[in-house]
Amino acid sequence: MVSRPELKSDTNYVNGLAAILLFVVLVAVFLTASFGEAAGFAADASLVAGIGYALMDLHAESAVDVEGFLATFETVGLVLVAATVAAVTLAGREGADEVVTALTDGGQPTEAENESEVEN
Amino acid sequence: MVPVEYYLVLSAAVFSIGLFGLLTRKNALFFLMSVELMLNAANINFIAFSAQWGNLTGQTFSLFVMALAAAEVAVGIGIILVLYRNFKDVDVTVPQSMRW
Amino acid sequence: MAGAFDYALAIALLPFLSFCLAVGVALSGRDLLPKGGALPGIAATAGSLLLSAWVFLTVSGGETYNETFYTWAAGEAATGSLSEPLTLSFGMLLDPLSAMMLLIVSLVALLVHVFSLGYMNDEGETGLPRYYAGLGLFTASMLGFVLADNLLMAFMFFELVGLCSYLLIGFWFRREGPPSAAKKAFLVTRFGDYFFLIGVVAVFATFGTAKFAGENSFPRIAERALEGEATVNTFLGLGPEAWFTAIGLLVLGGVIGKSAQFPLHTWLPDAMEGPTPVSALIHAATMVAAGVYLVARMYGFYALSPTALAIIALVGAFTALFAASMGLVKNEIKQVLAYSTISQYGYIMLGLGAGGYVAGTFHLLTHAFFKALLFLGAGSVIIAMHHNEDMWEMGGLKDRMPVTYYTFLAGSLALAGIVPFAGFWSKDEVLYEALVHGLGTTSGLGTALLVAYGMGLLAVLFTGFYTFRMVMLTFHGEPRSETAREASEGGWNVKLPLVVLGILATTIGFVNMVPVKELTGAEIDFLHQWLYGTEGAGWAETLGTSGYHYHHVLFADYGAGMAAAELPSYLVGLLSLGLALFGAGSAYVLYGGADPDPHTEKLGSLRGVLYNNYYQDEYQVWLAERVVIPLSKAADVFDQAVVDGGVNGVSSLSLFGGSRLKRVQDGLVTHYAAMLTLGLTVLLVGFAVYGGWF
Repeated sequence: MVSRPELKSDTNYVNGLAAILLFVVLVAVFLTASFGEAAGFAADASLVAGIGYALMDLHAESAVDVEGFLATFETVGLVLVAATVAAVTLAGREGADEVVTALTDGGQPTEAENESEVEN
Repeated sequence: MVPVEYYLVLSAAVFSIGLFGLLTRKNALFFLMSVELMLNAANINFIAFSAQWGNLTGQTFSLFVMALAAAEVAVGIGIILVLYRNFKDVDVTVPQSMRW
Repeated sequence: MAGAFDYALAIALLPFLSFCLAVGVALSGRDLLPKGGALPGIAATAGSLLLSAWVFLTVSGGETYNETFYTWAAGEAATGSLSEPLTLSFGMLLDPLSAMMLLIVSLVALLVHVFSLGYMNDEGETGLPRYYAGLGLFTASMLGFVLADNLLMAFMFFELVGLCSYLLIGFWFRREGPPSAAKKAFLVTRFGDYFFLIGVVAVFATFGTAKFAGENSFPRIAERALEGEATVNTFLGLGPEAWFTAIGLLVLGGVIGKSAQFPLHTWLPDAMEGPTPVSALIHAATMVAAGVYLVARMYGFYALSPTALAIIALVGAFTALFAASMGLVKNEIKQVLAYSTISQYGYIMLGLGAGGYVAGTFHLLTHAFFKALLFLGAGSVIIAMHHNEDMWEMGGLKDRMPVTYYTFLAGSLALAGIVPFAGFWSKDEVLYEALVHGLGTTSGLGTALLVAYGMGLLAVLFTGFYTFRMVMLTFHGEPRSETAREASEGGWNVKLPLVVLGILATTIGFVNMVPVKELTGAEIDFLHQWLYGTEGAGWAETLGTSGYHYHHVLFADYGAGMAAAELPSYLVGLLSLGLALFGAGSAYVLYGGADPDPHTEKLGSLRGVLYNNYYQDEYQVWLAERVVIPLSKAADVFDQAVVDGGVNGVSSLSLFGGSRLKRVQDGLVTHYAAMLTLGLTVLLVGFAVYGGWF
């Protein structure tokens, strides 16, 4: 008896019903809600410049309405640095006395493997 | 102008797809990818309302969300690495020891 | 100078102080007091005696005292048909009856403390501080009981004297008998006190007050209710007369238990396991007197109910006959005296039930003295016989122990009721009142009193017989054992109380010689005048506890409805004297020889029944085992299955629920995420519906 090869499927679909349920509820709420007219932006205003001004707390000079985000800018910078350091810390091995590189050696047997082969 | 409800429905759809992936996938990397999707759905929402109210705060905010998503993925990959080291598998259904 | 009433509280406090001192010495474990606590006890009771004498003199001048000195709970509003809210308080009532009783109690207590020096200290007993502490607490409680001005305070001290009786009966607790006897005494009296407690609550619920004397006392309110001038709460749908009878019978439960009347008499003979001075003080003169004293104190209330009076008289007379028949065949001297005590208290109950307030109180007075005398005399004999109580091993002690013999003889003559000793005058008056009221009253009460008179008269015959059998076997004839041949009397601390009580037993009867008064017309019925007061004036009017008032209520239609026949009292006295002499004479003939035979053996199986106390002890044990234990087992099953089961069920429900719910936390992250999502959805739907988003 031959069994055909199957894709290794690792999905468990029952849990997904919760997501579909949430989608249904959200759509129901959104479609029955009433919003006003969209305000939109002026056709010739520079949005990107406005965002730049916002990041430096120079929002008064922007043509478009925006708030100041300097403090948030600095904080997010700090958070990014912290995240980088955390990632590197988590990835490091304990007691590593050899240089770990991303280079591979193509599967050549190491010295330890040579010795065990000779013994066998 | 596209009515803002369409953007909201789009955002809800992307969010639900991400949530579906989060709930059903066993591989930890797919798990992280689904989380990214959900964050981007929230971004769509921000941009939509920035256009609705004519205020750039929403767009600035979504920039920050993107940066934070990247940071979060970095830390998440680190956690998956430690998970692999301890359980020899990136399947999220394998570590079941923190249970009753 | 302050009056006697300002110091009257010290009458009860002084023995309490000697109790505290003795307890302190006992707890310290060291030998701090030279006689183990006897001297503070003697000093305290002597002080109480002096203060009681001062109170007595003040009361004889016409002053009385009826005040509350501490209110410990006061109600806010009156309930039902009462006019005032309920208050619970302590107070003192000092009127002629209580002044007389204070003197009796403190005098007997002092003499017993002195006698204990000879019985306990000189015999080398150990644990004396505990003994004197028990005596001190008992004296304080008994005096507190006599001073009580309301029924609740009387109940509290009633229970306290029961506790002291338990402690003192079980004094030699390392032996087998005393602790068992102490438990029996406590449990049997407690059984009666249960009904007493219900009676106290009933009095409060019915009248709103439990005071014995004064315009607002419950006997006065009850009297006014029966005359139609006041309203009281009644329960169980009974009318005032029936309800008052019910209350009287409930309180009577405690009286029957404490005064060892049938059927709660079984504890008193076993209580003789305690030291003899304890038997003299507690089980002869004072504690068992507490029950009948309570009836006399509440007499204005009992006089309203002919049914209660009939029951008191019948129970008393039956007990008198019943116990006297059992005393005929006992071999141990203290056992004869114990049954004699039960029998004589039956006489006092007969006197009170027959409407003879003065007669019952007079017999209480004389009995206290001559019974204490007899017990102390027995104690002296027991010391000499090295604690062997069997009368068949005694004999011929009258030459070797003259003081004991003559005082014991005086007490026995008083007990048997031979003129002119004290017991004759009081017992004769009790029987006279029973006969006269029995003949005169036409209702069922009259018949009951006549039956009671008959039983009391027969008991006189038995009393004379067993008393003199006891005297003959103990003191006359030839000594029947080595210890009897070498018996010697104790020192002054044994002889002095005997002599004092001997004189009292001989002469105290002269305070109320009613037959002589009738024959000569001289106003020598001092006790009668003491208890009656002046009609319509002074304390008789304000307190309502005078004999005039009781007489009025007894003979009224709304009260007991009694009437008295006209009979000369000396004729009735001659009849009872004749019976007593016949009984004593037969005992002298049968047992007075040099070597008497055990004549009671000739009664055969009847003797067996009498010796085994009509199997009442076995019957009560059977009741406890066959009736009470199954009931308590059923209650236990209910308690464990239903009550405990309910509580345990709640906890096991919680545990089961928890053990099932915890499986939600299965360690799978995806499941947790699913639950988060579902929760969020539910919350959103909730907000949408509640906030009207649609």
